[in-house]
Amino acid sequence: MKQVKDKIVIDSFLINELSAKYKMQWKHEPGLKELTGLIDTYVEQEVLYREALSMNLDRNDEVIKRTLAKKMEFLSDDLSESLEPTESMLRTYYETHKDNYVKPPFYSLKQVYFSTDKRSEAWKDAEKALSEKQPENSGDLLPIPMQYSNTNATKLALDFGQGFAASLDSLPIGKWTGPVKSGLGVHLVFILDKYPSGFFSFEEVANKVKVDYSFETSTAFRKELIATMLKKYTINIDVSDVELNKALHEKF
Amino acid sequence: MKKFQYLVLLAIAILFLNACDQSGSKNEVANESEQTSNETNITSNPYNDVYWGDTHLHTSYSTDAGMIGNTLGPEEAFKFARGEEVTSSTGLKAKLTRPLDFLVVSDHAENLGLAPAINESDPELLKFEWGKYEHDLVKEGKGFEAYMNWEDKTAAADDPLKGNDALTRSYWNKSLDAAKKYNEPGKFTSLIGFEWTSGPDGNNLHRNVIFRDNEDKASQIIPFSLYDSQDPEKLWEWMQAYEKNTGGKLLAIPHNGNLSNGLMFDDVTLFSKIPLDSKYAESRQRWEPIYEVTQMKGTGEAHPFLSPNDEFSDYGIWDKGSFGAEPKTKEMLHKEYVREAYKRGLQYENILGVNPFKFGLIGSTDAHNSLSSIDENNFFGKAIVTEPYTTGRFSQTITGVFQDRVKQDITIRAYNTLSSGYAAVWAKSNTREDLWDALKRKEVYATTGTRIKVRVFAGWEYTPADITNKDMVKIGYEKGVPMGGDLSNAPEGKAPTFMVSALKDPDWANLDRVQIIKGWVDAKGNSHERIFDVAVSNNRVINEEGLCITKVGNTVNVKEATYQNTIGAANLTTFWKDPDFDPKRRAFYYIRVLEIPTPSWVAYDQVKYKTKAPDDAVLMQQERAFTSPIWYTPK
Repeated sequence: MKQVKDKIVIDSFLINELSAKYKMQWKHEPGLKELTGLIDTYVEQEVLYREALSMNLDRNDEVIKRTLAKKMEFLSDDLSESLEPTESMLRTYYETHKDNYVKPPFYSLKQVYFSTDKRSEAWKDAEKALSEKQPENSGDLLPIPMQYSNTNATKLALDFGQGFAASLDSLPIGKWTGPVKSGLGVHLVFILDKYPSGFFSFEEVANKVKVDYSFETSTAFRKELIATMLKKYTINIDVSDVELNKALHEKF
Repeated sequence: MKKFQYLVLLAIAILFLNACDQSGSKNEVANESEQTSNETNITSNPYNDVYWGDTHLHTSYSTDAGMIGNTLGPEEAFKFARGEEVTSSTGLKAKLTRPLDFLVVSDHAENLGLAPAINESDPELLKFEWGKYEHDLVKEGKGFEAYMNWEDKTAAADDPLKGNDALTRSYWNKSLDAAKKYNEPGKFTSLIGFEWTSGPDGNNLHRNVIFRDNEDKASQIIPFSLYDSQDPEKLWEWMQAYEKNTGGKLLAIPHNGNLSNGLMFDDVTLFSKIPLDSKYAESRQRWEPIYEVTQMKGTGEAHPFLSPNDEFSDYGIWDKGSFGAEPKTKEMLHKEYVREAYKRGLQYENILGVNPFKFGLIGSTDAHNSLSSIDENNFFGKAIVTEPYTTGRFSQTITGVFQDRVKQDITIRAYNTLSSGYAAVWAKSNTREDLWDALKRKEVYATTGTRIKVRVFAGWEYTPADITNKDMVKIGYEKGVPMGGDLSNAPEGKAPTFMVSALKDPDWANLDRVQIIKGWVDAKGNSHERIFDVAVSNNRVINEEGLCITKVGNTVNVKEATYQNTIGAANLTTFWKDPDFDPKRRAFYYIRVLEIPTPSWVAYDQVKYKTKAPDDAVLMQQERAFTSPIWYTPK
């Protein structure tokens, strides 16, 4: 009777793979001699590997177990990355985490500065200037802009201080008003336009939503995957320790 | 492939369930083009805006962070820096008072990712005998023992995972992925970088390497580590090779000369011990245009021993030794501090024709807990073991671990840590390219953590009227150079003129004074320094020597950790002309801005957490800014 033999295939796929590995290490293509050497090593390893499998040497080996489990986890990570969340999933995430997408108010404004360094009565001087026809002709120099266009309150807080940015909300639009205190001194402010605070639209923050979603779900996905796989198994608990027994039953 | 198909099916099942759970609408994949279109709206200012950031931050990927409890990776670091709340590794809610504009996650190159690899039982790690041994130690609860094993290896420059490129590459790529995700041009910039941790005998020669490039180029290498070489010249060769191979651009930022025991600005090369030559000087100037002058482990601008006439030279001095066993001696100091390096750089230029120590200044944190949080009243500490509420908050040993205690105690503990500093960058826009270009041309400055806005221009033609002109900045660029720039060709009979403007942090303390610090070399080749007070608050007098000897005052209440802005100024802007200029002599000028006294983080801590710091703790201080110099070179 003719013995059925296992096959070891040496084809162009294998050769390409071996060449690529060689090239990564040595930075040049293998020659004929190197290549036959690589194939020789491959065949040797393959034979030993298959014989080991047929003897079930892979069973209950801690290193192999860990490696395979890790491979599965990597596969699941790759999957969770390669499977793009759908827009509806991202929109749902956006809706349920809307507090993360608060939009500060935006302002277009002009300001005139009254320096507390230079004036003993900066507040009064500002009040006086307000009662005059053209307040912008008064005031002191400041090495930040006199006019801001469509600027968010976070940026204004960086330039003028958080208190100033917060107080803009209650100011009337379309006229000189004040005095308003800032971290730098006293100002008269003309609000040209205001876009009240609210939430960034999904479209405005789509990128951020996607990043936030993936940050939160990469571990969640793995857990869910394991839970789904677990459904194929029953877990028999056979432990004599009462406390441990109880804890395990609660867990599974 | 069968198994892969099985997984795909599972995954689809999960996704399908999710979709049904969430309203059952169509499975549309989010439109990619819509998302990228947000990037086009980047504001650009030809006269530059100041952007705030940290070029030096460690996450769990740094072994000396991850193996002692930091569980926050690069993603959390970016989230925190851009202003989001994160939970610290010790379980505290952490949020910046004000967001930063940019961040470099600069994890140590040496065994990058070792801690998370242990945590995740990474098979690439377990392939190595030492990796498995360390892994098992940690999993048995012997994490500190495992960490000390690694310390021993790295101190001996012996890579315990030699040949582990695959492991390092996988964590480098993860770090790059995070940087890519959080980089939003015009809004928040993640610059790519890493730290090369050279420290022969525990003497600090660390450099942070910063990329101008995106991930496509940065992913072509793995970070250069001390295992590759401890020699800065080898680092520069590696940087040059990277630029040649990828077409990318790199710069390196050294830090903590104060812990180098005289090696940071030495007169000889590190290993061959030959005197610095013009080739060395050219390379150093090319690759290291910036120095990190202040951070949590001290400030390295000036030292009282070197500048006895400078009453403000004692800010955050760490001068007991290095990380090694050898105590500090006075002979080391002049090779550790910036002002002295600038002066010696001019002397070298006289001899070599090139200045080896020509660099600008930034500050950064060097925090090891993924949190760039250095407001005095919101300080999250240097490491996990010094976060608020920890027992090590004040007492943790930071340097002096390996000392010979019998001889002389050179321990420096956590209560001496500075809540410092930040990098301020004058750039056209908040993008990787513009920020990097500003670092390269040195149009940057350091603060000890507050957001003082400083500008300086130097030229030959400014007039006192220019500083009251609304177009001062435009005039500044047209008729001269900004910080980090060069003056030459002094016109007959002219001296350099300066326009300086300092604006207080609007949410912090007023300003005490603005100083110009000048250094020069005389006809005999001797170096000198002189400090000029050029603008002071509260109408105090600047005398004929150019100094204001009246102190600004002090409103600090240490017991309650408060101060009042009833003294000091909001804005100090001035015109200054060098009264003592010799066109034949090399010189440099940089600006130092001082705030009024405020409580230190230790004082805030004592009130907030009802703790008591050691008696010699610094409880009040004057925070400050240091700009990059402007150099004058005679023709």
